[in-house]
Amino acid sequence: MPSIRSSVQWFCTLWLLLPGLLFAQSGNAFLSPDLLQLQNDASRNPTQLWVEQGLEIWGTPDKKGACVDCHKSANQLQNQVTQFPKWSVEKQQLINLEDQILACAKRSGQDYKSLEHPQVLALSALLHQNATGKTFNLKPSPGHEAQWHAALNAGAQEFTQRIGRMNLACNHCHDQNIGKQMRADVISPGHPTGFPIFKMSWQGMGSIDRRLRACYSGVQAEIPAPGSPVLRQLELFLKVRAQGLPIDGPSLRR
Amino acid sequence: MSKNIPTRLAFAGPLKEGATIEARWSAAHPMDSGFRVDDSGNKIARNIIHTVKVLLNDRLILEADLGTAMTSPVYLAFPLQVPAGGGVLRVLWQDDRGQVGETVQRLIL
Repeated sequence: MPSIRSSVQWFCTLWLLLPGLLFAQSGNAFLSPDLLQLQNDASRNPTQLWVEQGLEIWGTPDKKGACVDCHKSANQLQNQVTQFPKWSVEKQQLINLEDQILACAKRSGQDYKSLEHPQVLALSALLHQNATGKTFNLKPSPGHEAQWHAALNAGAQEFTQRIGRMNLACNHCHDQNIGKQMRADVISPGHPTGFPIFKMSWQGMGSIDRRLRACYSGVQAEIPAPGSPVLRQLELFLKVRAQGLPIDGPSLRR
Repeated sequence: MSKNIPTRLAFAGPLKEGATIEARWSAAHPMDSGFRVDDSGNKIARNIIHTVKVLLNDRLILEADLGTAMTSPVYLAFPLQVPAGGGVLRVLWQDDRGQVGETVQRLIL
């Protein structure tokens, strides 16, 4: 029997999910016409550089790579990609796809130093590209329901918590002001369907971890360390909020 | 050969003998202009791809000296006439640190 407190929390989380569902639009819908053209043209799209590098790292049956021995084709992992972040018994916290790539790489003796390592991003881009069109499929793993729900609630709490010198919470822009102008940008609902992203202002690729940290910087709050549990909780909440939207694969952002 | 800098070469247009297509080459090189500073205020040394050579079937068809205004990732598009029987297009590059690389793509008719 769930306690009253957790039921109330769960109800609040559901309520918070509502605006995200009403404005179910991918971030690509907010790209300028030029960027959208670039996004849709695979021969010019810079994210393809990382996807191709990912394919090379992965390897093929005739050409040895880092991943092909255990995982066969990258296409077979389509469904697994949609299930992150998930609860890790080993780490006792949520892990996302990049965490999993890092863990795999460590086990197989590759030296990838961080979540934003080019090779990690390349593999993430490849896997997300293959999962294009699928929807997020987030469920607690059996036996860890309580931890999963607690993490989701913590994510919802973080989404509505005012932070930083700007004293803003995520929902002030990404729920209440969707479609309005914020300086040169149009505010999107913040659905994380297009990660990893190639952000023009970074002149490079970045994972959702980096993007969320950039949000903390944007509202002038203390920036959590890469891989912090709070970032994973927020990612889980955002992906549950975006359930039903197709994954766009690696995408361009301004 | 540099393994850490992914490059790619794509073609747009009809791959037919005599047709003019566009070849699109890009490289995820950091292209540090030499004007920027790091978090401690130290200048980041210039490191850009300064020379690009394009060979079609081992014949030099384009040589470019790039400057610091090039974007990262570098993107270079140029027209190309498809030779009879297709062939091999090679893009060779060199940067300020002395790294060199090559991107090869076959023109298959």
